[in-house]
Amino acid sequence: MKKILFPILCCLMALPTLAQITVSGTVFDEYNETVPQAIVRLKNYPQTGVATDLNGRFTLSVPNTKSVLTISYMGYETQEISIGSRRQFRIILRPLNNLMDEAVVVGFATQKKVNLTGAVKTVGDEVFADRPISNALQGLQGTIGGLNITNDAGGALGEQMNINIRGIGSIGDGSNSSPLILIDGMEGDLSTINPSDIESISVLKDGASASIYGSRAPFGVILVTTKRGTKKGVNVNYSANLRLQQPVSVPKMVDSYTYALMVNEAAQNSGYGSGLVGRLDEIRKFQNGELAYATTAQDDLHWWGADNSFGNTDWYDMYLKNSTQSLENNITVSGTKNKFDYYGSVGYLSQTGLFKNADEEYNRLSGNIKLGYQFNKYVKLTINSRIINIDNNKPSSLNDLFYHNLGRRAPTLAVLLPNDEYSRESMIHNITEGGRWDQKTRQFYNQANLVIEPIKNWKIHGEVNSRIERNPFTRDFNPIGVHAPNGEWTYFEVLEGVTARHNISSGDTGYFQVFPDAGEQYNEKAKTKINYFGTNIYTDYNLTVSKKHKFTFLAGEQSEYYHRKIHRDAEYYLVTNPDDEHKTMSIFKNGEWSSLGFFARVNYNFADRYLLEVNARADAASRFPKDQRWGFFPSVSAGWNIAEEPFWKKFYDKGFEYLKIRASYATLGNQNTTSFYPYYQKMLTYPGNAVFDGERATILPMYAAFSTSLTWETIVNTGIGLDFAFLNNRLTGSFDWYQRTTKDMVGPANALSALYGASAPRTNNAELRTRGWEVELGWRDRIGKNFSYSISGTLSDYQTEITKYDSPDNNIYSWYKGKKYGEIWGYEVVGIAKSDAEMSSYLAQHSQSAIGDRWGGGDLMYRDQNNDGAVNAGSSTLDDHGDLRIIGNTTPRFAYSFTLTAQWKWIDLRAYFQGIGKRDYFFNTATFFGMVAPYQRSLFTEHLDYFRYAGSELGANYEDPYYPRIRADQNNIQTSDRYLQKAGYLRLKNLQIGFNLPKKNPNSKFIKKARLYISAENLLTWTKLRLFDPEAIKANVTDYDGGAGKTYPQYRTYSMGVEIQL
Amino acid sequence: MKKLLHLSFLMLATVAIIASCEEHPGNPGDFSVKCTLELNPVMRSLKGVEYPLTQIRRIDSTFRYFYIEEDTIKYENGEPILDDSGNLIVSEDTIYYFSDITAQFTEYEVVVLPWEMDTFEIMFKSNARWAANTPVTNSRTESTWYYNYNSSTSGGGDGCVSFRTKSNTTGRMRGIEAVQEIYTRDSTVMARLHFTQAYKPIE
Repeated sequence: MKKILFPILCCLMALPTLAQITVSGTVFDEYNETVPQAIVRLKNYPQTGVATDLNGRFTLSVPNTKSVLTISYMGYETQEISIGSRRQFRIILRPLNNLMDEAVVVGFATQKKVNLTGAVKTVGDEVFADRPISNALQGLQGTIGGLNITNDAGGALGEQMNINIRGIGSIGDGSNSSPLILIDGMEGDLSTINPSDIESISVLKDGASASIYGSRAPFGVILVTTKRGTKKGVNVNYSANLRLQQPVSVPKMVDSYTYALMVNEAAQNSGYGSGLVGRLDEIRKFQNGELAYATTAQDDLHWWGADNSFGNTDWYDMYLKNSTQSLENNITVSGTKNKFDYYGSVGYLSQTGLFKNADEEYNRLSGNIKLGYQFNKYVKLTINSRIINIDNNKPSSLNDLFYHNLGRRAPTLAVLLPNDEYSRESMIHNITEGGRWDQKTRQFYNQANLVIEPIKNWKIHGEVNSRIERNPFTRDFNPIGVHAPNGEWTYFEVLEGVTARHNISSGDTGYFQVFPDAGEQYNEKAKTKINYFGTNIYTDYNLTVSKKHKFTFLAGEQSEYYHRKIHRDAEYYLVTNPDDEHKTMSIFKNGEWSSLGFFARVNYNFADRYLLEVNARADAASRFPKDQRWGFFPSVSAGWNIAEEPFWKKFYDKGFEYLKIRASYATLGNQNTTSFYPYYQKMLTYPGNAVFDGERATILPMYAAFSTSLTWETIVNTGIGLDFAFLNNRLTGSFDWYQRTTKDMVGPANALSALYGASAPRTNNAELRTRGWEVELGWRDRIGKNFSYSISGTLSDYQTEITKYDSPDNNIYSWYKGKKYGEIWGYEVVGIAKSDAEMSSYLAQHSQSAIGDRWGGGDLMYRDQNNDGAVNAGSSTLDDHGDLRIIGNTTPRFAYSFTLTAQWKWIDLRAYFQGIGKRDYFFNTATFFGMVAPYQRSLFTEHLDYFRYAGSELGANYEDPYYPRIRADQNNIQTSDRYLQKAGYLRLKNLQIGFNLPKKNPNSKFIKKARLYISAENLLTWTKLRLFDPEAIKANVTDYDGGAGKTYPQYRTYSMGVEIQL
Repeated sequence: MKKLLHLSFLMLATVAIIASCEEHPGNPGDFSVKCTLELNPVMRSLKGVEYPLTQIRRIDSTFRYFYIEEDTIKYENGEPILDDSGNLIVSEDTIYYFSDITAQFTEYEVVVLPWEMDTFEIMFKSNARWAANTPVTNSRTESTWYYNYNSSTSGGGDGCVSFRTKSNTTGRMRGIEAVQEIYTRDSTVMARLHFTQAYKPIE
């Protein structure tokens, strides 16, 4: 037998050598570059093969035309080619699909991106890299479809941004819909963490992905992973940048003479007095330099102010710097050695403000240390400590009220008095001597993570998290004054234009709402202590059955405890009265909440083709009555990776490597009530209207009613999605559609009888629905060896509708069933009447007496929608809304962004654009209309485009003016479509050019990487919005809501920086 | 390579300069537009009777301004002349000069209104603010007989002056004419109308 077999085997083995066909070819990579050392073999005869030469060429003899060649090269997919009748081959290798291995951080685990069944998006640190931003939220803005980060309140130091995932989830009438932010698994503050410490951010957008976090995350999760040591040896990284910041969209005030003419005209049109007409001569003389001072003595004790001064000052020019500087430094040391890995960083950001004389400062010092130790192959321990110290210091008077007063400052007001002191109207004393506001934020995070892997694929995780916050706050108001004409010292209020008041707010923080009196010394000190403690104990096990069936099991518990203690004291007295008793205010607020959750998850994966994920979580929350505390929230999601189907093979080979369809359904509870104890009876004190001994007496009104049945809001999430990656992953993208319904939303119960004396309690009786979609697309490629580029973009939209609300009267300005979130009701404008005759004729058929009187040429003619002969708002209800109709919506829609990057050798360029496609806004403020009341005036050059007849001292403008004639009343500022603003915008958020030290350089032994860059933030903006910056249109309401144009200006930043890695 | 570097800087600098230049709009007001005020040549009463308005004269005149020039009176040798108290003697001259503003004045023939009480409307076209003050028609010898409405004594753009009359039962024509002036607020166009009223015939 052996004698027979041996010759046969010899013949078989010799078959290749007997080949008579010679084939040749060239192997290329995806960039059309030849590939040397690629291995070309004959299939099934691995010993028969050659390597390509330096030009990527090969020649090989094969036995026959049915032979198959295999071509392989590291990092590329192995290709098979049938010989057939061909003898020459041009072979293009396709890189390995890295997407298949790309890991994404999800709840309590990481998953391969291709196996995700939920809507999860991850971004790396490139979104923060070398950008002159002051917090991570600014860097994240616009980078992820559905992650809505907006800022309407301008660019004040430390300004907070609004954040939501996939839109509004609650009307905020007792609960909130903020996403859960977890930093390395612990709840944290994304606005305080140093962006340079962040390695990646995953956003779990849909309910199924977030459901593992249960009732703490019904509106999505933002998972922040901080950096750790990964490279061998000691790696030192230093970066620094110097920033120059300029205010943008700063209004230009009209000169004082023009101002006076406009005020006079408004007064005349509205029938109010004579305005400033009496001072025109002095105004002109002051402008011509004939008068040294802009005011005179009114009497011995007063200087003329208001409409009797005659200066000429653009107060924005007066107050705002042309530019201000900031500096940021970061140093990190990281590495690994044997079983030890470490990462340590220190960052310091020092920012100054845009206001002159204000000495604003925002300093952030952060330190982070993360140490990992692999005890043996079973146990690894990681500990992480992070400390953040933020100091935000500014004048106490530099608040929304100040911006409001600045916006309405008349240019005629005097800066200097004849005694060469600053006038009270200049507000310089308020800023420089009126006291300081100082908020410190001190956060200390500690985390320990123990991972035990007793057997392969089974891990047990134990995490202990703690956060300690100590946030001291001080606020002083000092008495300020000027010398009267007779030399006597006179005090005035630090906060201009408001009645003295000392209130303790009824909210959980017990904020003191204080408007000090003239000559008052006020000192406030507060301490906020927050202790947070949480544990995550969970285990996961990966099981593979017959290679194709892969299971992952996860089960665990999560517990959290939060305790906040606020102690606030204040003392105040009048320095004008030596006998004045020192009055005090004091609050001590103690609050806590806790939650406990048990969760489980099963992932099933069949051949990377069919994917299923089932989550279940049971939660208990302290915020509800005992019998309502537990809730159970399941979710399920599934995916079908079509590209893994056999029938897709031909498409796969043509470059369609990844195509997945996803769907998910989840119900989640929301425990995030705005109050820690919404079901407790509260008796809160208020300052009453009775005055005893000159002080408003504190009263104890009827206690607020409470609901004993208050329980979880239930959030039902449904969504479908599509992910794809084509053409060697050069084209990637995803699409998601979702619906989220907030059931049993907290809202007010039926109104109680007025005899009861208190408002109705909050109960679960409302419902809200949000629908939206997201698209993300990306393209990246190389041209030749030296040039690479990419373009990526996101587009998303959502709309929110109230689907259930107990509104007894369906008032259109409140909530009602069917109301779209953000909708604006207003009139339609027919046009501007060109003459009194036209207006009279219009009024004869459509009375506008419900809106105002003294109508004439130049005023607005509002449309009589219901043709009842009168224009009015009816009773402002759905059944009777008169001539009002829905004219717009303030919801920011069609949020989009796109990023362009390019690198050529050692130069790189990045341009990041962000915008909002559609948003309506109506401003009924003086900053928009110029004047809305006799002393609510903000006259900017834009306001000169108003209706004027021929003969006006400011020139005729009656053909096509933007504004109606100027008035000092409400006639022409009714909410209307004509003045509805398109607040959408496109902004070049960041442009940067970097110069990298070539890898091979004389110093490459010492310097691993060096980069010099120039970066600019908010460089260009395209918007149809008049007057205002689209990100500074609304003040945050604290003491005073100034409204549009009365906010801290937004700014543009130029930055130059360096990054060195040793 | 240097070119590329320079180009990069140039590009960034250009964008930065463009970004830094924030444009604020100027005043869109057109100062070249002259005021107009054109009366409808026919006046109507509420009873539907038409009264032609006939121009009797039209005068275009240029605004003349003046200022007072003060000077110290001096001797021929240049020494100032002092008064008895030893103070300088200052002379004052009123200097008149013409401006570049031309005003138009149009006067109309007297319109005789019927003796019966009635209301009349004078329609006109205008691109300006205007005023039509109530004429003084009363005196010691005659009570007021011509009233124009408050709402039509001033306004802007195309307008209408409405006035009404009392019945004239005095047996004679009104002794004092009502002189109704309508003029633009900058006084560059003025129309002057004269009215009198017939009397009720004695039956």
